[in-house]
Amino acid sequence: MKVSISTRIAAYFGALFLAAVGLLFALWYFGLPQFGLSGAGSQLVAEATRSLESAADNQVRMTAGNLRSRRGDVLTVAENKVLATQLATGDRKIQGDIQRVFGRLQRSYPDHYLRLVIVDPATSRILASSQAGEVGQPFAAPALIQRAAKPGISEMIEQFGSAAKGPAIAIVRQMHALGSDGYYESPVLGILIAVLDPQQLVGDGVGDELLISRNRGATLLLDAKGELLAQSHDAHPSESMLALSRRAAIGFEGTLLDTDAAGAQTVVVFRHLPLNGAHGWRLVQYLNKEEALTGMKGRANVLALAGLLLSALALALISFAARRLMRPIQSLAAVARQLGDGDLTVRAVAGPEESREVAALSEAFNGMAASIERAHHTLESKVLERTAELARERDAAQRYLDIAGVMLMALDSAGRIAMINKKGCELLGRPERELLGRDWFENFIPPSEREMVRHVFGGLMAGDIHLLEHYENRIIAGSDRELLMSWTNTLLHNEAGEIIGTLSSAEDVTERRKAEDRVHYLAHFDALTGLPNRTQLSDRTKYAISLAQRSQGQLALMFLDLDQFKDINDTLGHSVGDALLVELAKRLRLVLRDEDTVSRLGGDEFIFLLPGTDARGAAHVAQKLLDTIAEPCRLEHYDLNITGSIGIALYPGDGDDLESLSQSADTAMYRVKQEGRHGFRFFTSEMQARSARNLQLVNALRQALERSQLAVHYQPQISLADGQIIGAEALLRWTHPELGDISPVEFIPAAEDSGLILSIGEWVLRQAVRQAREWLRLGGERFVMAVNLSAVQFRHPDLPNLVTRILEEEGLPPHCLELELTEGVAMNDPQGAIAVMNKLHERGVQMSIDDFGTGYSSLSQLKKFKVYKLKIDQSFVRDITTDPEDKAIVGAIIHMAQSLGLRTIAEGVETEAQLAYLREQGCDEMQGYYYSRPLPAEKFTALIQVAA
Amino acid sequence: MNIRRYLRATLGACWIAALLLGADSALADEYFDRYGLVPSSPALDLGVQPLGYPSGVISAVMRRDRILQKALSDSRHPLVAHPFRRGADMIPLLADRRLEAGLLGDMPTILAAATGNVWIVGLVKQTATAIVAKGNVQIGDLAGKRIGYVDTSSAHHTLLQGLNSAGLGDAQVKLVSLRIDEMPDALERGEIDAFAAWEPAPSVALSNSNKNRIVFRGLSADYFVIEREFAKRNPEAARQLVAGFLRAIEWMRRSQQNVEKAARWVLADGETFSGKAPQVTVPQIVAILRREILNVPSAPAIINNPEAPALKGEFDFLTRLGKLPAGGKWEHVAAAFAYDGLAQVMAEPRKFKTGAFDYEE
Repeated sequence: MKVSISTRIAAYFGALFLAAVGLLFALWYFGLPQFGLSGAGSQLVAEATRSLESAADNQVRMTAGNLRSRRGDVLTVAENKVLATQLATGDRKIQGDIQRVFGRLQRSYPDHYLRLVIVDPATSRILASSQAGEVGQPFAAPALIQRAAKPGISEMIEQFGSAAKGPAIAIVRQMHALGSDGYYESPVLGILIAVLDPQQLVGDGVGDELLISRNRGATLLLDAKGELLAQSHDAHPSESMLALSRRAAIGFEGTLLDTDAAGAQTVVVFRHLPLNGAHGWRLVQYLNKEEALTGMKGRANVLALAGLLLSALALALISFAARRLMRPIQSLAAVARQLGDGDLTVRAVAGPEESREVAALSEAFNGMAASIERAHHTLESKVLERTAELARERDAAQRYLDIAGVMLMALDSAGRIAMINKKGCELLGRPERELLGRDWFENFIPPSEREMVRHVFGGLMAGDIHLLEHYENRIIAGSDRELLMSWTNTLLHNEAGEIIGTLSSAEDVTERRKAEDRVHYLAHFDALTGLPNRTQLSDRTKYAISLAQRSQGQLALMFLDLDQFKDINDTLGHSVGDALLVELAKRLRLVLRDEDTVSRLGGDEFIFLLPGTDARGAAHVAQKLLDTIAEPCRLEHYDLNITGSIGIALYPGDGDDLESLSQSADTAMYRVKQEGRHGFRFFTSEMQARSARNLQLVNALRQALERSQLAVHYQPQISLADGQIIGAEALLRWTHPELGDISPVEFIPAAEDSGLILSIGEWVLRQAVRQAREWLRLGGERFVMAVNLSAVQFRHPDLPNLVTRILEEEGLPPHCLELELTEGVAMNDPQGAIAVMNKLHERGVQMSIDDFGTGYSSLSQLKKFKVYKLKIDQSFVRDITTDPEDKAIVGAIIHMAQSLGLRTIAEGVETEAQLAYLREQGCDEMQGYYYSRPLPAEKFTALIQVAA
Repeated sequence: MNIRRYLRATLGACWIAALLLGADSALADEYFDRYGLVPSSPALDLGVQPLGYPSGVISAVMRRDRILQKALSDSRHPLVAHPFRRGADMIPLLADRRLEAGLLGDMPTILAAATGNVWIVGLVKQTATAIVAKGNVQIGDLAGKRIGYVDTSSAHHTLLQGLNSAGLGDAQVKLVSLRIDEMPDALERGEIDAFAAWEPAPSVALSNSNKNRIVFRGLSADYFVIEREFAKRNPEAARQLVAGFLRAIEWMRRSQQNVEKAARWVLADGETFSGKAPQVTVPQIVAILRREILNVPSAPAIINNPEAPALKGEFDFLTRLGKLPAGGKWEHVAAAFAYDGLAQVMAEPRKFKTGAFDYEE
């Protein structure tokens, strides 16, 4: 709010006046100690102190005078010859005389005398008294009489009061008979005791002349021991005041300014009232300091009020003068306002009574107004001309802007739309006229981002050029549509270089960003289940391991493989399989904690990352997962039951990164698979060793073919009917230059796991077929080459074609090839086995069941298999001479085969006895060490030739 | 103007006394050794202070008391008065019985009585020592101020009493040792903020400036003492001496004429003793006499109050300062008041002629 000059002048003068008055008041009140002046308060206290001291001196003087008069009275009575004579003669008239004397004293000094007594010094009995009734009674203070009766004790003044009757003093004199020369004529005849009211010594009667004295205070009269004898009528001493009164030693005089227990400051004047050469009383005159200042407070109030009134009056006068002074200037200001409001014809009018300064100011103002009017006309024409030109330029610029493929928009410094091109109007879905001037942030920025965007804009307006960098935000485009815009901004400046707004180009990146988000999602999540994929699992594993490293903690990584999930896919279709995976993914997530991660690697394999989990926790989770998986799942009318196998690896013992941990977990999971599925196992060192060995074998096996480390040996198969070689079983042998001879029992599973079995199996099949054709040419018309098929080979869909192609390429009749299939492989998937067997059978290839007796073949299925021979497992053959049970089994197999029309061959025959029994039971063929161990092709050739 | 002259003269006398207070005994011997005082002297040797009032006035009247002279001559103990500049000089003479009696200030009285050498007969004067300060100050305002004083004096005692009444100790002020006559001028020059002294220094300071004020007063007294052994051996002579003392006061009380006459006598004695005309006037001496002894009720009797706080306080004060002679005890001082010579004289006024007066003109 602007304040007029007159008000300011008035305020300044008023404040100065007030300050001056206040200063004067303070000087009066407090004084300036540094200049040796006393303040009014100190002066008043000093004056009061002097008055009090003067009052005390007067009081002492009057009290002493009063006392002296009373002592004179007593002396007169004590030396009264009539009374002395009456005492000496025992005249009873003395009682009447003493009463008359007492009456005269009372009339002369009303209230001063309380009692007048004459006591016998010998008996201490009262001889005469102003109170007739006590004559003859013992005097109440015999000790006083004894002291007073001592020789030479002319006079005593003693306190003679009591608690009941209040303080009193006694003037005591000896009474003697006096001679004409004035000397005592007798010993002590009596003790005269005049009892006085001490109050009369300091009472109003005594202090009348003090009443007119201001600050006379109150008076206390105390004896030498500090007992209060009397006090003035206006004295109401508190206990603390009495204590203060006793502070100074008897005989001392002075003034103290002290504070009593109640905190009140009191001026205390002590005076000594001598009674004789050794005794004295203490007179105390005191005044409350506040009382001393009472008058001053009144004066202070008057002074303050006068100061305020004077200040107010001065303020009013100054204000009046200032207003008169400022009136022409206010008129000039009004004319200037009119000019400012657009009235260019207005002019100031200065009357003749105005001052020279005002007249000059009016003239100057009028000159300025005329100049402004002329300039205004010139400016108006230029503005119209320039406006038209700008409109043309603007239209041209707008056309350029409208052909831009991006949104262009300018905001003024308040955030309102100052310009927008056609593309911008299209994106916002409104015509330009509805957009211009509207608040961009309030109308087009979603509330969730409004503060942030406004903050950026505010920063730009403040000149923060770092905010000019490219950024993106959402805008409201239509009633229910939001677009993600990518912005590039630049600042707009006026000619003075001040920032007046922004110019921005924006591109709609909504769809592009969605696509990028999708790509990002797919890069990190499994599209089917929504679970994190291996990439994200890898990130999380790294993070979890880093945390575990810092905290020296543990984590568990579990590898889950659904058991026989492939069968569901194969039998019910992939859609059911996928739905099952989705359902299981939901269930698995529910089992885990928030910080755990379950990732699908593909197929039916899942990996679980459990940070901060030890073996016990991992086992607990694994069991819960297995239980969850095992719960029936109904999908598309199917009630599906599935189980899972879980391998568990723990950090840091089983690996220190995702790869090593997942490999360990995979190994453990594989062990579960091997052990019958549906369970979990922890990775162990034995697994590690086996895994390493397996890896070593697989790696070596990859090069074994190329480096001719593999060889096929052949074990003769002998007809028990005539003892002739009727065939051979091709057996793969691997001799590694460093690892030595490696058992098929060891490397065949590795080959199967690694998939190398297909290429190796094909090579073996080709070698065996080729060798069979060779031996067939040597004359073995009945020769049949038996080749083992692994489960992997058998399941491979191209097996029939492969076999056919090799037979054709090597030129071996199909019936000379016998493919051995283990009972386990056949019975694992009987339907599949039957289908494959049928295909091979159709092509003329013979099939046999290897290791018969170790599986669980059913007769019904056996009948469906297109096999022609059963090979009795050597584990039965080995003990047929010693183990009646094996003997019975072998016999049963042979008889069953016979009943089914199948041939039998016993493997592992090593003794004559075994051979005899087999022959006895009707076994058709045998192979074993009894006849020959597996031989290289050359030796086998030689054996054939010898046999031939 | 007159009072100023009187005060300055008195102050000068006190200054001389103060000078002597610090002098050694050899210096003191110079003026009273010529008295030829010996313990075996038959005369009753009375120590007087002609420059002190009212002490000198009483002794002047006693010296001129024909009744006393006759009574003592009859008892073969003629009265011989010996002037002293200060009472302290009499103490050793009373102790070795070269003096039989004397008029002493309160401190010398205590010092003499504490060893059991003297009886305290009666009051010679009752006055006050004062603390004088400049400006509107009170005793409590003297904390941290410079205060002039005379060590081991009744004024010193009054100063400590005054400070104590305001809750202050001597450690809370700066004590400046000064001669009594230096104090008023030192106060005017601002060298000290206050001083404690006996008359006439306070009166001089008050007349110098109306800004100076008495902020505290303490009682002080002079006493008439008689050497005990003398009183024991010559009780009648002692009582006659006491009667002369009592008579002198009574005579002065009887009339203004008597008092003025006594004042003139003491002026003459003082001039004789000091060799200089005293500056104090008769009316001034009369005023002092009335204020300090004649108007004191019952004076010179000291009625049954050996525990008089002022005297006991001064005894304690001397004890605290270590100024008491060896063997000095308060019990001795209290016992000194037990002398009943004054009472006996008062009890037998006719015998001791306390109502008869005959003085040499």
